[in-house]
Amino acid sequence: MDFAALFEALYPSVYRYVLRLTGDADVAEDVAQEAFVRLLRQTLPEAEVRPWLFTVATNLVRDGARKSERRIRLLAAAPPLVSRPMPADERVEQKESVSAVRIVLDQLPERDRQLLLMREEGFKYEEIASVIGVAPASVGTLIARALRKFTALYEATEVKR
Amino acid sequence: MNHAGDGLLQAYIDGEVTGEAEAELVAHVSACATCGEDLKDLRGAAATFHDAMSQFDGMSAIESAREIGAAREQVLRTHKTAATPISSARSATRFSRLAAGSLARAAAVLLLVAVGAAAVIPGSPLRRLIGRGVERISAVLAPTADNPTEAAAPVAPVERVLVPGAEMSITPVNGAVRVYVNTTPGAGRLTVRLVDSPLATVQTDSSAHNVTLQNATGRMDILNLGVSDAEIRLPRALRSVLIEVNGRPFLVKENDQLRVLGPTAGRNGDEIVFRTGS
Repeated sequence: MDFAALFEALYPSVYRYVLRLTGDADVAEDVAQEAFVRLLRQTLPEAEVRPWLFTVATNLVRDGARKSERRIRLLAAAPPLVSRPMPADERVEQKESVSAVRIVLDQLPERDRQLLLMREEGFKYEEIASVIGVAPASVGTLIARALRKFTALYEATEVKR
Repeated sequence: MNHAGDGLLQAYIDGEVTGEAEAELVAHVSACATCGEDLKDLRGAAATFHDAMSQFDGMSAIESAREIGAAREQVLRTHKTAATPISSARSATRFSRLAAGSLARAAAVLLLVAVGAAAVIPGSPLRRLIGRGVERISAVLAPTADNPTEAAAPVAPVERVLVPGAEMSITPVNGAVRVYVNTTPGAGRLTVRLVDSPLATVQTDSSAHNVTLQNATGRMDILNLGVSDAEIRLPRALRSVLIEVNGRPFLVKENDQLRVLGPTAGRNGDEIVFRTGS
């Protein structure tokens, strides 16, 4: 598969993963693009490209998170990109839902977020284990635990709203 | 069979249990109320997570072929730029000059060459800044001993503001920023002011119809300033600053030392006004 086809097939997935992981569309764009820039310097079997991209993206997010601890966003009031127009009341409702999901995701440990989001992207346990750095045999247990944690927090947030 | 346990049940839900193991598990779950209940719970939790993610994506998913195409073009440009040898990059001279001093480490120079070359490429992503003009991000004012690899961070995105009178922040790298001004000879004034704010910003006046501000981490390009004025506000705490007008250094700040190199039109304390056309 040529680069254009690979990009079209995989970029949305890497972008979505980072967006869900960080909640920041700019970071998602930067990290996803940087992962593909690095891919251009690699020669990889096609089957390894996707987990490789996710590994790079995960590491970039991890490194970026360490740096951003020293940075404070004073103003980032502009709304995220909206892919389709929608009525104002629907938009408000969606924003509330999005922030509830974000709050819950942010309460999960980083590893749990990565596990759940990679599972959501359809990765096999072996690939998840390799990206996250855990034993393949433990992935099921870790995912189950993270899912239960997410659900409990999410339901608690929904009740509050 | 003992109770299956969450790990095995989750693996079954995710299609990781096959063959005899799957058949055995299915038989057990259908006969064991506890495991049946656990399986139901885990399926419910997975569905809740999936639904939550679907809501989350609606706000800013990359959906259109155009968006994907633009991102791909940006990746190819960045790759090409990053691969440009330093000796052949137009901006390399500027950074080589800086590297000769004590301002920058080699890694930072390499990074900034890449960023600088990317900054002049037209068609860089127009971010949320357009039409709004301002995004303030606090400055990273000093290098950090605990993260010496900071300079090797990914190439920063380039942000452009085409709006007249726009203000834009510059995010320093390791406490250093470079501002490059491109203007018309015999025109305009450039005011540089040291401020106590953590923000490094550039503001052009409302007559700057064709001016373009391009921002990348550690670098700002002010293009087509023409006959307009611009004001650059720099955090006093910045370790190093270079301001260059049409390829000529106008101001260098190294720690507490401020060296004015360009033709000044006036100076009042921490505010220096340059004649950009001289």
